[in-house]
Amino acid sequence: MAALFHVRGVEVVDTFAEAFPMTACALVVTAETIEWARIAGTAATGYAASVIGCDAEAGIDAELSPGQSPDGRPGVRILFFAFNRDSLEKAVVNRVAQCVLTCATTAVYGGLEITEKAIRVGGNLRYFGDGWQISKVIGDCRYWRIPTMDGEFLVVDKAGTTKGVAGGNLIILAETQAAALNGAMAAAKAARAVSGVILPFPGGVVRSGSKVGSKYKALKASTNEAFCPTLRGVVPGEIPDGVNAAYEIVIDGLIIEMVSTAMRAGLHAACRIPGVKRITAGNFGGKLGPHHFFLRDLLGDPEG
Amino acid sequence: MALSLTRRDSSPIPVEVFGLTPDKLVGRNANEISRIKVLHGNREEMVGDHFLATGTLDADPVVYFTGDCSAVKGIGAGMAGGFVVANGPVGMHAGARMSGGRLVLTDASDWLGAEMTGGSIQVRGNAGNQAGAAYRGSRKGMRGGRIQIDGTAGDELGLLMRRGRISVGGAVGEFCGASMIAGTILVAGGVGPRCGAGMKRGTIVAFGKEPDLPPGFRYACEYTPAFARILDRDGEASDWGKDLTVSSVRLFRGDLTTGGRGEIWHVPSSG
Repeated sequence: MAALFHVRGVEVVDTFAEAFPMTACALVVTAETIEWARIAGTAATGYAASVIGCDAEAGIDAELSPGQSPDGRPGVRILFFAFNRDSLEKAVVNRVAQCVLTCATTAVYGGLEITEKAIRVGGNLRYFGDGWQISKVIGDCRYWRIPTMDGEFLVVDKAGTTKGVAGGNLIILAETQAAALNGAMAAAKAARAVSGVILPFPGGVVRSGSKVGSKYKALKASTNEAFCPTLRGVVPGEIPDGVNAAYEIVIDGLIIEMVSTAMRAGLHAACRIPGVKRITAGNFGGKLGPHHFFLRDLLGDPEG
Repeated sequence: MALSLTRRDSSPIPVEVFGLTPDKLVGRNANEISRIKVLHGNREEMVGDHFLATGTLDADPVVYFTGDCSAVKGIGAGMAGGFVVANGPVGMHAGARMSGGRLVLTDASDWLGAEMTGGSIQVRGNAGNQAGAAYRGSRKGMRGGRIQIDGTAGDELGLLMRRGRISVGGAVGEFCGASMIAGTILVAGGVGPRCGAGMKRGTIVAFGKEPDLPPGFRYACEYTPAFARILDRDGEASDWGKDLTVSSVRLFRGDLTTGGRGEIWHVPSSG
């Protein structure tokens, strides 16, 4: 059993979250109203919880006021993460095509600096214009204007990418399911407030913590029985006495520091919730990813 | 350190200073520059015969033209970098075929920025005909960069323009954007007759009175393009100052004689 620290009376296991690099990009989606921008952002980031089963991991990183957006309209910033640039481009193009191009009044801009490692977004979508698409170059940026029934869809030709970090995580164990969920929700809210990170799972909270592999050969991942309270006593477990539920939050970020900042915020937010007994993190013994976020390094409360 | 070229006389016979640009003069002193050959009419003479050269150019070169340069052709023409300023009217071809750098003029004559591929030109007053245009026989006009004219411009503004941005604070003459291939022209003070004639693609934004368009144009719709805000913000960067976001635009498509993929935005309210 690993050593334990204590934060506000909650046990924090001396372990680490294991994360790995993924190719990331950011898009800014604007619309006439923030509601339509949210709709587009939510649709474009649906079915994007984990690359185990989805083409990308995605989420809304921030909402932008008209003053913060490229075209003076309200918008959202979306982050996408995938295994490599090719799969990222394919996922982003498909998602923008089906969920943003189709969504009323939207426009799409790049959220990261363009480098030689950019992906083509509008450059692939322009063919929807069937020859009526218009290319415009402003400064170093090419835009595509595609005629639609409500006017036109404006989209950048290319979006910049970066080497992001996926898989930062915290596992929150509590006396009851309600307390565990409250702790996870508080952690998710605090982590989400950090710029440059997303929590790709529904509501930012994962109930189905997984391990690599399965007794069934076809499965790449399966339930992490060590954290399932219903299996206490029949499998070697990580669930201490008095704990009856656990939830995980998973964090992807554009850079390592953003992920660790979000984990720190999440850890301390969860420790404020009554009924939370222990916080730990998921790892694969250091064999899977090069980024290790040790919980002992996150003990300093960001709010003092 | 800047180089100053002060015109010695005001002969109506043109002096051609093509190639007398900051990027090509770097490292030379005033005496060397005075000995560079220029054309005066059909005669080969020296810079020093027509200009008093003072100062030197360092790594961040600036060239000032002062005096009456209305018969000096090709100021800033072909420049690839640096900064040229002319206080007073200049002759034809200023900034023609330039690929970089910045040219600031008080008033300009014909062929301002003709076939330029990059850099920026700002004219505080008026410009003549064929600004940003293609030379006769050429297939493409301006191919990049930006021209900002605070006053008026003459005929054939942006003729055969291929890329870049031209903005005019006042009115322009006939055939604005004629045979345009792509790029953006913004005119705040009204466009003259036959605007956009033969344009294949590209955007002309015409503020003020409704444009008198050739018969190959059709009214399409009234709408608020998101791209107008991008154009508007791009304008703010160069102090053009017109507001494209205050109202919707009336869209005309044409010229149908060349495919109908060009567009003219008419903005009745000048914002």
